[in-house]
Order: sequence, then C-alpha cells, then structure tokens
Amino acid sequence: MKEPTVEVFVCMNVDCKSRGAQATLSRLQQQLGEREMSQVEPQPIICFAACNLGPNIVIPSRRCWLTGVTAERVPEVVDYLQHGADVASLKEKNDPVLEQMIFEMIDAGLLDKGDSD
Amino acid sequence: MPEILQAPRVGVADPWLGAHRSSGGYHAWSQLSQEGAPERLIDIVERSGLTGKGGAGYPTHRKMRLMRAQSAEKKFLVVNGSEHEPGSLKDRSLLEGQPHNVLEGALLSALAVGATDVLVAINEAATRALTHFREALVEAQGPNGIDFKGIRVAVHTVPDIYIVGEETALLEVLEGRQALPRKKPPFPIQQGVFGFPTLVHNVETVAHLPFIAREGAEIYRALGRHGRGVTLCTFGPEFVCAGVHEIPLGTPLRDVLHDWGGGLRGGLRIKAIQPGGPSSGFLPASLLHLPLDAETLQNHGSALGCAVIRAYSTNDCMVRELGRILHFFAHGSCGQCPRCRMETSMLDTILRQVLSGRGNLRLLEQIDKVIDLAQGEGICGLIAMPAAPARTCLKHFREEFIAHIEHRCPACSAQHAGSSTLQASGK
Repeated sequence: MKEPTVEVFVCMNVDCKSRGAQATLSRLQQQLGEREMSQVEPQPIICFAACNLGPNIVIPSRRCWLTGVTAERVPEVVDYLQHGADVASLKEKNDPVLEQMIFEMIDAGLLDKGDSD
Repeated sequence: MPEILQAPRVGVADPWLGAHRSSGGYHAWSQLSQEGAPERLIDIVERSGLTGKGGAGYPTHRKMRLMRAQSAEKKFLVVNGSEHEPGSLKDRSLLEGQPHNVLEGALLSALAVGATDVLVAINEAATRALTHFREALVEAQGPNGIDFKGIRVAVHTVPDIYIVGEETALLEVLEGRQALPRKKPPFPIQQGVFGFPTLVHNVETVAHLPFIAREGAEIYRALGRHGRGVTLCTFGPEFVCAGVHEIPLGTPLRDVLHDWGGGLRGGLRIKAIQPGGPSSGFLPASLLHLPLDAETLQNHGSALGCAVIRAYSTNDCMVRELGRILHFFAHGSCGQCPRCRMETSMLDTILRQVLSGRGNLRLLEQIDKVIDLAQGEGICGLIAMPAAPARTCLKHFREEFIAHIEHRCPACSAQHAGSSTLQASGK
C-alpha cells in the first residue's frame, strides 16, 4: 500500500532566500532522493512574516514549524520525517501567535498548490 | 458657488502668470511677504480648518506651527505632487492648470514656517504637469515675475511607484536613494531632507492657501456645507462626469455622485462606493445620505483620503473588486517589513483562492486575523491600508463571498474574468 504524501513547505520569499532557503530546498530534495523518501513532497510556501527566523519550513501533517533550517541542518529535518527524531532546537524560536495563525491558515486550506507564488 | 481651485477648467483656463495675476494671484504673497509677520498665516490657516489633502487629513496649521518652531540653517518645504494613489488626478490637474496657484501657496507656506528651500516633487508620468510647473517657475523668476524673498524653489521628478507617495519614502527619493519608508521618529519635521527640518505638504493643500490668505478663513469655511471649506475629488471613469471636481465638504454623498459625478455611465444603479481611493472602506448605497466629511466617513469604516471616488454598480462583483485592491497592495508593498509582506500577500492569496472557486468560510474568517496580526506593525501606513476595504466589503457584501464559495456569483458568470487590474508601479 502506498504511503500517504507528506507535504513540506519551504518558504522561498526574499528574506528566507537571502538566508539560504534555496540551498535548504536543494539539500532537502537531494536527501529525500538519497533516502528514497518519494512520499515527501517539498512545496513553496507563502511568507508567514517569520523572516528574521528563516529559512522556514512547515510540515502541515505534523503541525510542525521549523525555523533557521539552513542546508547544514536539513539532515535533522529528514531524520525527523523518517524516524521522528527530535527537532526541538529548530522550534525554540517559534512565535506562538504566528504559529497558531500558520496552522489556522493551513487548516482553512490556504496553501493550495499553485496559490503559493 | 465659486470654485477656488478651478480644477475642472484645466486645459481651458489660462495657466500662466498674467491670468493668475488678473484673478488676484500673488496678491496674498505680496501682502504676506511685505508686512513682516508671515507667521500670522498659520493662525488664519488654523481658523480655516484646512486639513492635509494627501490622505491623512492632519490639520495643516499644526504641521506648520511645529515646522515654524524648528531652528536650523536650512529648512525644507516639500510639495508632494507624486500622486500615486490609483485614480487620483487632482494634483497633476492643479500643477498643469494652475501652476502659479501651487507656486504661490508653496511660497506662502514656506515664508510662514521659515523654510529656506521648496522642493516640488512631481510624478515623472505627469508630463504636462511637470512642463507647466517648470514653465510657471521660469515665468515667476523672470524679469516681470515676483520676488521670492530669497526662498529657493526646485522641481524634482519622482518615479511612478506607489510607495513614493509615502512621505518618508519620498524624502529618500529626493536624496537619491531607493523609495523605502523611514522609521519614525525622527519625524520629517525634526529630520527630513538631508537631515534638515522638512515640512511635507500635498500639492492640493498648498493650492488652498492663496485663497485662504487672500479672502480669509471665514469666507473659505463658508464654501463648505458645515463650515469646512472645499476639497477636490477625482471621479473614476465609471462616472458620466469623470475627472476632477471641487466639492463643498459636507455635501451628501448622493448629491456628490449625481450632481458632480453625473451618476454612472449607462444609467447603472450604484451598489457601493469608495470615497477615498482603494484604501478607504466600502459604503453601501444605503449610506449615501452621509455627508462627504472625513470624520463621518471614518465613523462608518471609510475615509476621505485623497478623495478618489469610485462607484460600483449592481452589475459589479464586490469580491472581484476587493481582489483587485488587495492584489494592488500586495504588489505595492515595498517588502521592507515582514508583517506587511505577510499581510498583503496572504490577503491577496485568500482573495485569489476565493475568486478561483476554491474558497471556504473558514478561509474568510482568517481575513480578520491576518489584519489583526499586522495591526500596529510596519514602518509606514501601507500595512493598515487593506484593513478598511477588506473589513467593510466582508461586512456589507458577505453574501457575495458566499456566492463565490458556492460557485454562483451572478456578476462573475456574466462578466467572466476580464476586469482590469490596479497597478502598483504606475497608473
């Protein structure tokens, strides 16, 4: 039976890009390929104003928002996706008000594919 | 009713020095510049009730008094003719049709506040306004011109980019930098152009000054219905009499729309209006008994702003109209403040999703939350601009949003998706 798809949103807005979001996305795609995790689909995300914490990643199905995910820290994210490894250090700067809004938006269906440009 | 600014006659009336003089022009300047107490103009302006015509509506005399109190080797008066609010034509109409009136008003204000330099910023896209004002300046400085009393006047062209209309972004442009709003404080009156005290007036604001100085505050106030003078309004292309008209403040909106605007083309019925440009709240037809007055409009979730009046007919889809406005703000944001970028792009995304038939009620509920999260944040006022149109549109036309969610919007099925868009980088 095919595993359910896990969407991983990577913010590609100006600030996150300037903090290395493109390298984060590339590393994520590479690692997912190497570990044959085809059920995980990286997607662009619209800016959630957490720019000073970027690069930002949101994993909606796990209600998980990760900040400061530079390319070097991508393996920790993939470990989390693969084995549920601890990513607390990538959450410690999360703004709770913003976090609530991010998931309310996602729950409301904002982040449809093709509407995140 | 006399029209003190004569804006509707742009292109017909003679804009040059002789005509301005023969209608009483530069009389106030001669008096004020010769009598030795120019600050008395500030008292007259206070009694006139004049407020800034650029959108914020701040009492003009207060800014002038604050500026007067500044002491510095140089003091600047910036006349903001960048006019980036979509649809607004009043400032370029004045610069084009009454350049000497604008110049006289600028000189009067400069003298009253002790400014040494006047910088007139004109949108590069307003080519006739630029040409006419420059020619008027040459005329005034010529052999039969007027004595500027040592006040230097220069014209600057500014790019046709929405954010340049924000006064501190304009100051950045005048200093040769990118149009990015500055953090306040310090306020421009404390540290403006090149660090010197700077008073920023809208073009229309200074254009009111010669009449006020010449005729007095009481006569000026009496031009309005409730003693509040007059204002220029730009009527959108949907009106029979589109363009710039001078309206007595306090006139009921219904009279404004029909007596000056001539109603909608094709005899269409008005469903809603925005009296102050895209950042003003929507008012449904049931509120058209309200007077054209900044305070009243604000009490009903709208604004007078720079008085760009847009009307929407019973054939228009209000969701689509709001979508155009929110898209405009998303693209008009300079991107400097994360919260502004988040707010404007998120609201734009929500509306696009609703318009594309993939909306839901839960998504609509997020609009208020996104606006609340942005409240009080951001360097400049742009972050607050989507709030009034979004909230009032949802309040007065919620049924139309529901119709979109349920794929049954009659206006959109009739019109399809062919409406025009607002442009943040030009008109």
